[in-house]
Amino acid sequence: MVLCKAVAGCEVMSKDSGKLKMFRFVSNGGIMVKQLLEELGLSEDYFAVFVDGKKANLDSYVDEGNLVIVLPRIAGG
Amino acid sequence: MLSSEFVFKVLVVGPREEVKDRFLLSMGPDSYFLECFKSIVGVSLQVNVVNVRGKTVKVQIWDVYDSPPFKSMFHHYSKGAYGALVLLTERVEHEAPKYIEEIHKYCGEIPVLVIIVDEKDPQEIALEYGNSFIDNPVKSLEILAQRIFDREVEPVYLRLSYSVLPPYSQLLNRRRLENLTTIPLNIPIVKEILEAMGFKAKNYEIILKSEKAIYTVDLRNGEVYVEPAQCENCDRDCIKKEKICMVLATSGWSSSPDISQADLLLISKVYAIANNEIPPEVQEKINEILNCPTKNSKKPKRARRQQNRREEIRL
Repeated sequence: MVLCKAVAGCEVMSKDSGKLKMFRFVSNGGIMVKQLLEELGLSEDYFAVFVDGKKANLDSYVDEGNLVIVLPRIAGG
Repeated sequence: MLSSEFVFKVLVVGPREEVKDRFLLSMGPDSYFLECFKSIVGVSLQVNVVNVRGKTVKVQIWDVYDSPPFKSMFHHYSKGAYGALVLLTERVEHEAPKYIEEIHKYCGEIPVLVIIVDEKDPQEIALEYGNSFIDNPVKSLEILAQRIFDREVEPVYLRLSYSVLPPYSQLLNRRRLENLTTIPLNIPIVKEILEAMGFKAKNYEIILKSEKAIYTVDLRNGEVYVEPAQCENCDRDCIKKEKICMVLATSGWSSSPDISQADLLLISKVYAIANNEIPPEVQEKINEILNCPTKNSKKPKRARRQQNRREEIRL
């Protein structure tokens, strides 16, 4: 099942291959956050996901036009 | 371009970023920043020119982050260093041997100056420590450069008063300038996202309060400052607000190309603080800051000083 299609506009560095991938949500019913994270290779390494400013669960759906942010984990000291 | 006869690479290490920042800022107008990528790659560079025995020496200062993600990169940054400055506060001066050992491990036997930043007045430190006291951070570079010339590798301990370091406000202005020119944040969009998440910004700052601490997140440069809640109504003249360092441990992602990794890092910081999900190593530092050094003293520091002054006058 194709969840994301490569188009110009949104860029993400693929964690696995190190190559640039372009993503855009294309399916009509949207995709689940869990699936999106898998596509991005961030399933293990994300802090929190927000869709249009609201915290999303793994089974939340995102659709075209939604502003999705996957927050990175932080470290420091 | 500066003309110089010698170029020395010097490392600056220490557990307190705020102390290092203030120390480096106090190097004066002759210094200039090359890059400031500390929040991304763990190091920022500064260049100072000093005169040693009539020779012009360009000191290239590598200010290295002292946090776990960058510990593993320390050996890369330390390559080719001629000398090192270890900046410690009174509270952690016992950690000096650990830092010296680490420097010698990765850089070989190079001259090391341990500078202990003391909260006492310069006169008090001068009386107590005599020749080991310096009243100007630039002197430490001159001493280090001399020791590099002489190949004297025995570590030297120096004391410096907090009061000679530039005020906090100056540091903020400088940092703002640096960060705005090197790591641009998309402030309007970050502000909009944070507001949608329920965080209200006032004057480009988000203030988050917990039972023990007050956090200030500056949206203009992404920096986070912590102040113990108990200091809010305290009139002691000690340093209350300190910078805490939080950096990217993984990559984030956004469906908007206008949101950078620096923007996501800033949003992560706010979210982590608000939800009490601060990484353990950062929390450890915060706990250190929250621990009031004068907690067990019977009288407030300022009151004690005033009393001492009155006694001096009576004498």
